[in-house]
Amino acid sequence: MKTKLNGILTLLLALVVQVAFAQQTVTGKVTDADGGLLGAVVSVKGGSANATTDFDGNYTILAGPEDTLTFTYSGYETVSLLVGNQTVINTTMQASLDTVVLIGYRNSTKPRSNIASTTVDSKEIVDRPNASVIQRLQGQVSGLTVQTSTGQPGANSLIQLRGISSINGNTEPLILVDGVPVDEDAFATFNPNDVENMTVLKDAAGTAIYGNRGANGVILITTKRGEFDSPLSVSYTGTTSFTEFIDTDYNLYDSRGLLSLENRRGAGFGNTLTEAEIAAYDIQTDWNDVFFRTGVNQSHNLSLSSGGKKSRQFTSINYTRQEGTLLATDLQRFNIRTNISGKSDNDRFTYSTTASLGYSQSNSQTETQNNRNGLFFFSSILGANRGLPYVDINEYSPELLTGISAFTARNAPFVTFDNIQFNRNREDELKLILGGNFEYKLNKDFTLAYNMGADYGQTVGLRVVDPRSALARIRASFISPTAVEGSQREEYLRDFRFNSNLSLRFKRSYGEKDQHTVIANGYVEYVKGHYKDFRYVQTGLNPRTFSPGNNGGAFIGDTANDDNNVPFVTSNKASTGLFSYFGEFDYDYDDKYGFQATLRRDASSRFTADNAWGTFYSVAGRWNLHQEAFLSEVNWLNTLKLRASYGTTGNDRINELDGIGGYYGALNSTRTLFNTEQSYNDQQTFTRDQIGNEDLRWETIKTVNIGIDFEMFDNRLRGAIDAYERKTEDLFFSRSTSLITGVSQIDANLGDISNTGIELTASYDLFRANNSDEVNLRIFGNIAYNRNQADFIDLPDGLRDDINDGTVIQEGQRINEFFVVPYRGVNPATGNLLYEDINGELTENPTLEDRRLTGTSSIPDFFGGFGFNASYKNFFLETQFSYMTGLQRFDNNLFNYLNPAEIGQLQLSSDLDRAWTIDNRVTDIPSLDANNISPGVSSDRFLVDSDFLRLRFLQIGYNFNQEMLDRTFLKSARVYANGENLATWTGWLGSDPESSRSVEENRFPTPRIISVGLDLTF
Amino acid sequence: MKKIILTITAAAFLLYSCEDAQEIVQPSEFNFAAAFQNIDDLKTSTIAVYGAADNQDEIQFTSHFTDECALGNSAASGSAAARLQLNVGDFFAEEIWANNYLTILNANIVLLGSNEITPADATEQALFDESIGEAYALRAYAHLKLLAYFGEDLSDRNSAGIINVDFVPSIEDVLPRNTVGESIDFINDDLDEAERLLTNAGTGYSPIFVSVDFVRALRARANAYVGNYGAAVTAANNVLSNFSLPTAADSDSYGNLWEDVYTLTSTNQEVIFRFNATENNGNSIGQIYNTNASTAAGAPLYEMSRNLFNQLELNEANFGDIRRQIYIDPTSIIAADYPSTTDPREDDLLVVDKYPGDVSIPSLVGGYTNDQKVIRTVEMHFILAEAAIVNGDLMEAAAQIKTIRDARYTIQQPAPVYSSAIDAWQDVLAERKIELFAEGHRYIDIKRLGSLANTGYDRNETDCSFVQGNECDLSFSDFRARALPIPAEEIRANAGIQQNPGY
Repeated sequence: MKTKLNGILTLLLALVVQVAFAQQTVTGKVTDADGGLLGAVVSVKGGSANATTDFDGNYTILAGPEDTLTFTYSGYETVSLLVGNQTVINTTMQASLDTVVLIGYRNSTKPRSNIASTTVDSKEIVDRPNASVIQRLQGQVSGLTVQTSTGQPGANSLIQLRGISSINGNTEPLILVDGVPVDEDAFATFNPNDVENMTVLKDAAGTAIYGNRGANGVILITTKRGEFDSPLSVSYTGTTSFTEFIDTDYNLYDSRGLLSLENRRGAGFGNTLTEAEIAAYDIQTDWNDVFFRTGVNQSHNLSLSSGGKKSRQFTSINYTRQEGTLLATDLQRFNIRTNISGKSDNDRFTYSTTASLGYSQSNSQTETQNNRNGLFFFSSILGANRGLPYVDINEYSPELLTGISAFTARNAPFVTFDNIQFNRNREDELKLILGGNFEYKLNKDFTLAYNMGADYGQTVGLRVVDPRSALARIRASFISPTAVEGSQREEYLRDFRFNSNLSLRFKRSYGEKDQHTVIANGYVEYVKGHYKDFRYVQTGLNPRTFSPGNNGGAFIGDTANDDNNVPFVTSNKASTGLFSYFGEFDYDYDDKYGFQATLRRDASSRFTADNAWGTFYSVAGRWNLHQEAFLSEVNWLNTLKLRASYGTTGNDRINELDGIGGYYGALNSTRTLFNTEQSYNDQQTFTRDQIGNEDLRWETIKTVNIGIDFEMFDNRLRGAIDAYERKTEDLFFSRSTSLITGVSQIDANLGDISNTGIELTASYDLFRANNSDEVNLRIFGNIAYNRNQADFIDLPDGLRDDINDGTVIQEGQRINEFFVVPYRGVNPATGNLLYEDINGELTENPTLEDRRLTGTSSIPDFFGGFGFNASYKNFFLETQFSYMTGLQRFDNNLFNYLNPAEIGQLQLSSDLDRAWTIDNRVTDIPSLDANNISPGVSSDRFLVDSDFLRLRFLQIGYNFNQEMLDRTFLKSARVYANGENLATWTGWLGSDPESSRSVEENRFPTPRIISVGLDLTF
Repeated sequence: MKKIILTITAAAFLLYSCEDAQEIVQPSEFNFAAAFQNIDDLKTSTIAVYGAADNQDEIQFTSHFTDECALGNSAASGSAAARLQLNVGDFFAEEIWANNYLTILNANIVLLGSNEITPADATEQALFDESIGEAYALRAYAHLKLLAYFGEDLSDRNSAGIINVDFVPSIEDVLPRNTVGESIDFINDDLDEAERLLTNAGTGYSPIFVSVDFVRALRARANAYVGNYGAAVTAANNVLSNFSLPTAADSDSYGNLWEDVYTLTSTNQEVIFRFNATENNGNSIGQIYNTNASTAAGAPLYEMSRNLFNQLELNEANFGDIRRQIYIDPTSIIAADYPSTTDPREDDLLVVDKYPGDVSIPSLVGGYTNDQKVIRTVEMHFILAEAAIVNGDLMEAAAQIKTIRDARYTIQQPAPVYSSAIDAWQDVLAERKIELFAEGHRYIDIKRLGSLANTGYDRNETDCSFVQGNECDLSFSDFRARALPIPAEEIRANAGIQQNPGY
């Protein structure tokens, strides 16, 4: 017994001694060509200890000198290193030749991919303060523009890849999240922290396989997954940020300046004051400060990933709250995601599922949209822009706004301020994205795969005009002095989109060294979308019990003797579908040459049976030159790949504005239909609602693309050049009809347009750090040039003249090119405006015939981004700039600020002090009495260059030392501060040159966001 | 075995999904064949013709462009039309063109639909005749409005008229303009057909639906427009055998008329036809003039022109003209010395009250909703007066004008004495300007009678100062006063269509 015990003790002691003696803390950094690798697994060979790297590739592990550390990371060659006496082991991992790249419905490897694509990985996406994952892409992918036209947090953006491919049809790319096609306009409820990478497929080689929906490119979003054989890793990210209004440069009047102008012109309040009173006037209100604020935002993200031998999982939860700069605008969001993958014991069956649930609540002021931006008593942006500086906001009280006489231009900002106090507009969105992918290897060559996905969105909108608000009270006062009004609209929208894809896949390598590889896959796909909405409006709310979104007895019923409180009710539904089968063939010879072809047949429910089927195809080839013997001596060249592709894709989204619009727009445009309705004398009747166009058919986009991928100088310089031409044929465009038909235009396929461009994207590792005491510096940039042109317009003279927009669509010209009369300054003799007529003569009275093309449109020529990432010791710095050039837009805010007709009513620009007078004849501002400020035709006076260079993103941060962290429970920690839109260089005077609108007037601009954050891994 | 199961599954999936995804009929699709099933459907379809036919655009354009109105304090810088800027992109030209052709389309759909229906008995035959009679009448009405605004020269049968449309066009159809002569003949044919059918059907008079009286009044107007006064006089006298003006001014009844309070028997209401406006259907005519209500605080958009107001003031002072109080709201701010007021746009507000709202219509909407009076009894007397001048009978012309004034002046005056035709034309135009104010006549009147009366648009300098632009008055011979431009929307599809001179 004693001996036995002793033996055990000895054993224990020996173990303890050994542990005490042999285990040492090893730290280090795992990098790849791009810098630190997040999530690489470091394990002790044959042992149980393992660790994962943090955001910057740092790890800490306990290991003995005889141990071998294994570094594994999906897509990279595994590295094994003996520990020996080292306590710091850094390693750079090489991308494995078999690195998986997603190229559509299947994966490939980097050398074997034939397509033009750009991948943005999580590093370029996480940690950014913008609430929308899509907006974070702006400036990061050559050829892609993401323009956001509102400062509403999480708002939808206009996404365009390689220019606009259609006039009436959809022009936004198809977006898939883990293989599930999703609504491209609904990303407010998506958690950007979940993104592993985003791949943008640009050419037909990549998009033709998506046939009907790939016409505008494809964005594949892949969310994070755990790794097999990895321990539980818990990460927390928390940020706090501040959203700020970006000031404008309109040179506005101060109180005294404006009062004195009014006094001189005998208008408004200034007219009632003496010069001395004006000089002593001391109220000065900045209405921007009244309506805008510094928004405070918070985001917390917790993710857990782990993996066993046969299964792995990733789970995340997120809470984000973001306040817009405009009062009463915000977004709150909660997300949860679980991604699970696994395989059977024999590895023949693999599966992966993705499930994400998001719920968001967003408050907005819709008055800034829906063309209500010009309405005095509704648009608070109008109040912020045009409120009179000599009016004091402290004058505001609800009681003041009683009686119609209080509703003056002067008091308009009070009314909109009152709206903000009482009224609200809220949208709750529930978003569920579910996907599953199941693959079974039938034998060595064949795999059967099934993929299904569902995107379910449910939106509840609530819009309330509180009975106590000034607007409700004034409306009620027209009914009777004692009446109460107020209204509440609630709407329920449901959008369910289902996608099902069954495929049989073949892959075999043969030859002596397996140098021939053939892939042949066949697919059947079924897509269905179902939409449903329901809404009501209740007018008449009892203020004593009313609570937004609730009846609770507050709905005042209608009475027999009036129709004041008749509720309005409506409901709609729609469905759309697609059925497709397609195949692809891919051949590779020894990683040197490759060829692929795809063929796809699609049937759309939007066309008649004769035109339902569209056939789309692509062919592509590649030549990996660096594999050739004649280049084997060129040591500085690591990769050189030539690519070429040609193919067609289709579009069946005929008109984004018809009916319910967007995905559910123009669903039955081939049929002539009637509509029953209440009409004259409140009697029922029916009217012809639309004339069918049975000839409607697929819009086809043919893309030719030639590209080069290169890596050189020890992979320090990496990049790609692509040149393309995209030709859209059978363009979705409105065919004009004589008005005797009862309509002025119908949906039709009419004309051809093209987009031609070249893109370059490159990055260069200026300094590569071997250890943390050295500087690591990588610079990167991308530039794209795109020129769109209307090649053929099937209209008289090949032209559609949009007289009131100041644009034309004309053969040989840019789409929606500006078509205006040139403004040439002020006539020194009269103070009137001078325009140039078509003969080059100056005129004060231009006509439609004097308009001419400007060579510009609201679409940029050159656009892209650039920046650098640097790290030194524990500090890191990242910048990203974005830019656009060659675009112009109408600045109607500037027109308003210089409009003498509004003297005495609204705020103006002090540039008016320079206006022409008999004593001041040489000036750039026309006489305040000029009689041709609105000459009845569009002029270029307020057509302003909207070129810009913007510091889109700047981040500076600090990684905590491993030694410090060793004493805590943390594996890694870092803190950082960053900013979005910190600086903008532009000639545009307003807040936001980046909006996609061709006319800017009283809109909610995108903000500047400054944030601080903390990333922790346990 | 496994493979077989999978193959079958795949095949089943393929067959099922193909149809389900590809052939989708949206809910509530309703086509022509389903729409026209029986005689009641035919009657129902006529309502759509009324629904499109109203006169809102014409009245609004006339008030913006001509000298009957001036900018109110809430109209900002006004419409392009108010600045006398008329070109092929003009909003009103497009609306008037488009909406009248929409009315014509709806009428032609009724007529096309009637081919699907065979009346079973006499009752059904009457309903059938009445339905298509209404369609013919409203088709003529829409053609006449188009001819009045777009016809090149109403007095010249060979000048360019409008496109006559008597079928449901396909999207391919593009037609040239008919001549004025062809257009007026087309209108007269439709009116004849309408009168025949309505008479057959025994359709009784209703002020808010097409009646034989409306058809006749329209015939009087149409023929007067083109100077075909023989037919016009016959038709006008036919109408006046059923309708008459009061012989003495009655402020209450005339005021009630504009408030849509109808207490007299229908044929004494002075209105032969009006479009009934309800809370939910029909245009809010009051909002042409005022944003919220016809009061000084109701945000006036277009107020009565100063010159017209001055004339009314004078009439009231001298003759007790009842129209002064009825057309102008009592809350109006009237500056005695308006030209020297620093801000006449704010300090001299002549609020149009001809459409004061309908108290029977509840809620805010009632405050700016009134029936649109399309043809009134008084217009028949004007037509008779015009015809008399053309026939050289200035005494008769003066007698007709006296009949009109007797119905408006509380202090009745002797008949005016005209020294010449031009003198008579001027008086007719002046009286029309007052009486038919804000009813969509002034543009057409100057177009067809301006040269005879040597009268164009005569604006007050103060009114002009509200408007940006150096034009104030406009001659009757200016191309803009002669005809509206064929709008760009039409030209886009119909490039060969003849444009009116000057555009």
